[in-house]
Amino acid sequence: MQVFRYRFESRTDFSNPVKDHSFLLRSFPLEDARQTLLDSSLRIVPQPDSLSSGRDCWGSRIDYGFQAAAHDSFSYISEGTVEVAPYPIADESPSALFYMDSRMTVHDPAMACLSPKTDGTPFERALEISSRVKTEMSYTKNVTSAETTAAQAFRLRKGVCQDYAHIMISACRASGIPARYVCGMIPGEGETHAWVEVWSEGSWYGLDPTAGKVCDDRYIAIAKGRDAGDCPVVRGLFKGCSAQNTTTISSVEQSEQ
Amino acid sequence: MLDTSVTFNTSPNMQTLIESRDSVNRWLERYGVRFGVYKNGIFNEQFFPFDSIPRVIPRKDWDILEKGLVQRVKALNAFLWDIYHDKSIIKDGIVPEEFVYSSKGYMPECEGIDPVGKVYSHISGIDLVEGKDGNWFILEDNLRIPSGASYPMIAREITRKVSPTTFIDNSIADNRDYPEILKDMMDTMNAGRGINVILTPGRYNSAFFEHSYLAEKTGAVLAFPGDMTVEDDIVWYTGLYKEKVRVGAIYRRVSDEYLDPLAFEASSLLGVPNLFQAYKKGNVAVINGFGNGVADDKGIYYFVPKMVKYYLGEEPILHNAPTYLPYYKEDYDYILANIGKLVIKDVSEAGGYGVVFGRDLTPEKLEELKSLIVEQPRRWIAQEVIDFKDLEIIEGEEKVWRKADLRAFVVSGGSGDNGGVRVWKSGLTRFSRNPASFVVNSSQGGGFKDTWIMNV
Repeated sequence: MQVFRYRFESRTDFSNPVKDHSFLLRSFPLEDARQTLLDSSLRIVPQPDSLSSGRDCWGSRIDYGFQAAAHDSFSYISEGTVEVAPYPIADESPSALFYMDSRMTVHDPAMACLSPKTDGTPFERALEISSRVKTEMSYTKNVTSAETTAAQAFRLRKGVCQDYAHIMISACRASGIPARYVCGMIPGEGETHAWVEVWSEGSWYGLDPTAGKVCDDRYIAIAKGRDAGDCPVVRGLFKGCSAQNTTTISSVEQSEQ
Repeated sequence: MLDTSVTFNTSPNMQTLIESRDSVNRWLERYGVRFGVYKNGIFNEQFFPFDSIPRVIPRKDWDILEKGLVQRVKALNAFLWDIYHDKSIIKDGIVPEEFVYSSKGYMPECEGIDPVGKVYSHISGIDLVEGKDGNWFILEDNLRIPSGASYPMIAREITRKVSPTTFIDNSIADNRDYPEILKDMMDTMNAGRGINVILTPGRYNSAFFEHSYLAEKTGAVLAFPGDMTVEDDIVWYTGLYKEKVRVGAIYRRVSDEYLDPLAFEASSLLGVPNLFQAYKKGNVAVINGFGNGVADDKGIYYFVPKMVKYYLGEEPILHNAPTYLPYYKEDYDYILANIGKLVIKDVSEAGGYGVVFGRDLTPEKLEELKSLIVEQPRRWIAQEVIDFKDLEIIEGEEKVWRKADLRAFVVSGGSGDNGGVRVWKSGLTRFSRNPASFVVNSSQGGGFKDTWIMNV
């Protein structure tokens, strides 16, 4: 069990002012069996006309609202303290959806080389898939996008954590192992991270194919779902003719408490 | 009871109506009654030709149809509620879970949401055919955005003017109440006493004529993408003078995935951002509801008669066309052995696409299709070819017989008895202009007729 101070910051600059801006954010650590939020806050600049919050169907916190007046930047800071327990997370029966291909993880015969060669528990087989993914892929930025599917990234053998996670999820599901996508933060400073949870003998375990390791209590989940399509951290729609540039930084450090 | 084939074609006022075909079509053209089709990326508007010989449904037949349609739609709405809540039909082993979860129309986002009045399918377009033996069969259920009601509405409006005595001398059920039925349903479903709107994707949509026509007839506001915003989980419509009014019911003609770009397809410019959150809170009725595609999936169709028994404890009044699911071993064997006489449908396609008649295929193509079925049994259903009754149409100067179907419109969530379910005493009769074709979808170049439900 560890306690972290986290800070999640995003800023979008518009080349021309935009108006009637609707947005939806996922910026809080998930509150589930593994994570407890001790304190949290969200500040949005400029202050929106309306702001509501709720949860999506996967349990992730969403904050959404509307800003009518013209503005040339949109930024938010979500920060707080979260207590994180190690994996696994007990779950009697995972949803059938985590057994099936999802939009971004449709299986491709080319991925057959990732299937585990040994018998064992689903967790052990998933671990083998994870290390195969790490071996096959080379971590490369700017060759894939947020829309790249598992099959496309695997053809390139290149990508970032989102692609690693998608490929691993696709291979796990093809081998009959329920798997889901997690978007979150890890200690240090940087962009958001992505990893995979696999279900084995009554519990979910975290595996990080990008780092090639089993997730511990330093992995803070923000959103979960079938694939990255269920977990965008920010989405918006506005009126205006503008180029935009978004930077997102998360920083996590161990709390002194 | 009138003998339709004899009396109608010989009576003088029938003659006036039939001879008026060209002038009716000219009127329809003037009103802009068209539908658009995208083919190879190019948008083409087509005229939807009207044939002036009506399809006549005797009252005693209609009474059965009406009861059966009400029953079927009640069961489908009960199924949708169950799928997004308790899932008892899966737990009780009536519908296999993979048919639900692998359906493109199933939306996990809808889990646990309570739509206004528990109604999912407010406007259901149920496609039927009449067999040569006089029995009606259900071809498919359309529970997402069934279109087509405006065609018989406007055709009747025009034919009444062109040949008024026809409608005085024959006791035909008046079908001019569809706007009233729709408005009553929208008013009943309306949350928070807001306005009713019809949301159209815009002028390049295949059914734009219908959107504007229904808005005019029901007094609803015709809203375009960008006209509505969501603030504090309430939907607002911004009018011409920048005034903001609350929206209580949205009859949307935009499909689920494009309806809220922040919840679903991010690239959509046709939707209302954060509409899904307002819907989730029960602050707006979305007509038809989100997630209905799971119930009108071609694979789920097989189970609808079972739903009638399961949810209502009744025997289904209307029957499906005999259908086989390769998912079941017995059906799988039957399909592979009899593929040449069956019609095979791809469950993921709509609008008359992905429908193949075994008898039209060469032996090589048949083998290809067989291997596709072996590979992905869940993707296909097979049906016996129904020998359906041909209807008379005028082609040039002569009368010819063509295949036709009927789309019946069932409106749920209104204020009346029967749980507020009403069947419109009319419908869209579509016919195939190609004598060899059994596919009558309007995207495939057919025409339409008026449908007369007789009062006696």
